[in-house]
Amino acid sequence: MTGTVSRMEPDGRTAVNLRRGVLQYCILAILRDGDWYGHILARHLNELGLLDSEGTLYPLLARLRRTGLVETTWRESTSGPPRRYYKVTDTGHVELSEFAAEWKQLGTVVNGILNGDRR
Amino acid sequence: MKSSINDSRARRYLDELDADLLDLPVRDRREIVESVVEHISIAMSSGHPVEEVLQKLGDPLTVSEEAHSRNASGWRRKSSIFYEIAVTTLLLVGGLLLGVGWIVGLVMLWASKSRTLLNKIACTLIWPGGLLGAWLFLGIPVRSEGHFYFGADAYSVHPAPPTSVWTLLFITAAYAIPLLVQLTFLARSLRGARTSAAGGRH
Repeated sequence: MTGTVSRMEPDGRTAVNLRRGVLQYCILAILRDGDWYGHILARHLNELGLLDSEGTLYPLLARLRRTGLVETTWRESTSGPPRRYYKVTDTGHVELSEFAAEWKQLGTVVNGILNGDRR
Repeated sequence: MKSSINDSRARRYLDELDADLLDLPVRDRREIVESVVEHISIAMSSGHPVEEVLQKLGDPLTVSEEAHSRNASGWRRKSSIFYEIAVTTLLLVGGLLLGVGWIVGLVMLWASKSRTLLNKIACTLIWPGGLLGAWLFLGIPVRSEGHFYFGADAYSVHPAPPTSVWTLLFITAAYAIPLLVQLTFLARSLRGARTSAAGGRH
């Protein structure tokens, strides 16, 4: 049983690290199609299986804002408190395009290797 | 903004999160905590039970770890604690080193990114050498007929006007308040570091 757990753990970490690495680009891609506020974005990412703890979204959003990839605006809501909406900046769009190109290339290579394509 | 949350469990969660983020720059800490406050407010106003909201948010320590890993990880946290201990020590006893230590402590206090402006102002009022320093400066108080005479006055040929109990109380309070602010801040920093070191997930 112990052996199973120790074998499983690296796989779990790989999945976590993979998700963690792509999460900020997924957020930029979601925000590219419209402005979202934190709560609804957290729920959406949680449902997609990209975010285990919804609270961990906020340090990431704070960093995205600090590095100029997203910007925020406050909007009143008819139901509940005012909401902080996140929007991708021009720098964010550029970063996302670069990642998309990189991901496409990397994905092709990795899929090729995984499918046994030796060319 | 935290005051907009009435539920005691949610407030406890936010206090814990705030303490775990204490060594981050004030601006970053505020941004993260305020975002979580907003998250909780919206979720609760949509009818979600507080237990579910907090459970989905995850342990405050997990959120804090994410915040630290998105910065410069544990080294910064550890160094920050040593920094705050040094500030406290220098402010309290640095005055005894010809006042130089206290001045260094003051410079470090104002250079700290984790403290609010109010905290810095309050802690600046920790006098060089602490309460003992203040009393030594004024002389040792001698009590006589309901009044306190400070040392130099008690032995002078021409009796000086007595220092009232209220003045003495004022001096003590003026020292105790900033000291309390400083020690509370340090205790919260240490608590954050301890829970982080223990990896104490609930």
